[in-house]
Amino acid sequence: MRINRKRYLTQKVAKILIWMAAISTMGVMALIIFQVLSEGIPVLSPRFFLESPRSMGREGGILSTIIGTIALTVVAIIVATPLGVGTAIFLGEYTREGRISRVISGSWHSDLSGGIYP
Amino acid sequence: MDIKEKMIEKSLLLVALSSISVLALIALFIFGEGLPLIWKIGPKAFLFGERWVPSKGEFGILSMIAGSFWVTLGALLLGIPLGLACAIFLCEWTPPWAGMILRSGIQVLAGIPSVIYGFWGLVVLVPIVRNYLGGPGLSILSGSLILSIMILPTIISISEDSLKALPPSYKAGALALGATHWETIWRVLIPAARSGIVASIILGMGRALGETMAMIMILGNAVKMPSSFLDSARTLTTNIGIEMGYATGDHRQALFATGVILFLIIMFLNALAIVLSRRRVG
Repeated sequence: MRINRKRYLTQKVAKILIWMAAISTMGVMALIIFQVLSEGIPVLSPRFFLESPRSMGREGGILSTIIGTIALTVVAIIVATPLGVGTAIFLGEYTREGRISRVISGSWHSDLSGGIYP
Repeated sequence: MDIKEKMIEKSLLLVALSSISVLALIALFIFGEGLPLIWKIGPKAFLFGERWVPSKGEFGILSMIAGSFWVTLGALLLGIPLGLACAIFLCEWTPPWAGMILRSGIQVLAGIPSVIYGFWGLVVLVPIVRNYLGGPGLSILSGSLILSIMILPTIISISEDSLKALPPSYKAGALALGATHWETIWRVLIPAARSGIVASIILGMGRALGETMAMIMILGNAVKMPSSFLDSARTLTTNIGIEMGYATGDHRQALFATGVILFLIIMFLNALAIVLSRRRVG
């Protein structure tokens, strides 16, 4: 009887610790999101999106950086899409599973997750 | 028709090869730039030298290896128990509502860019460490804390998947033998999912080692051997990130050589993760 009680106590303690871990993870996550939003949202205004930075970024908005980000992303996608899709078609339709196709697709990486999700 | 088909196949092969040869070229370039300098000053002086004074031609990266090591270790010490606990929580003990919140939260965490983590750490965490624990605040401790949050999604999601992938008979068998739920988790499920859990930890370690932006913002970047968790430090990645903008000649090559060392460490970790995750417990 005594042993049983100890085992259930262990279970209780473990359960509490795991709940604490889960709650603190959620707490940290909520804290980060909350702080970023609460510091950032008051500054947002239509002008912020429509002006470029002035005097080394102390004034004005972020229009030029938004456009820079979009341009960078568009060019990256334009370059990567034909390469990526072409490689995928080649691997999917013209090769059988083998060493070369695995090297190309880096499927040693998906193999890694393959070992994990059977 | 036949010729056209052949041509398409060949051109697709070319596309496929070019997409990996880019990777190979990058690796080749890094090694080509870095290795000569390592030979020039000697692998031993490079790896175990404590002084990094580019203007005098002294390139020793031991303090940065130590910095990377301590920051990563700190992140793992905090991230592994927390991540594993969350994984257990998600697949064994969750009321559905909590699981939903935690899962979507983890997705958000995984999607936050590292600058935001660095920025948040700098504004929130660093002053707290400075005020309550002393030191400059820009320290290994702050860096480890941020990194442990950053590697949580990796550890949680892969561990959770490997726990979920276990045959239900394991759990049923253990419970039928009279084990408590916790004993089932601790003695049966976790050992059985060990390979996946270890892989998740190694992938998290790789992410921690490779993190640059957040570490530039939080670690303080001092080039010296860190002697406590409250010292500021510099990692291999931040060394490259900070100095690449103005480095020339030998200095630039030394940064590539730093990259070579980093590359080797990460390759080793990935290979280890693959080997360990393949080994199944029957």
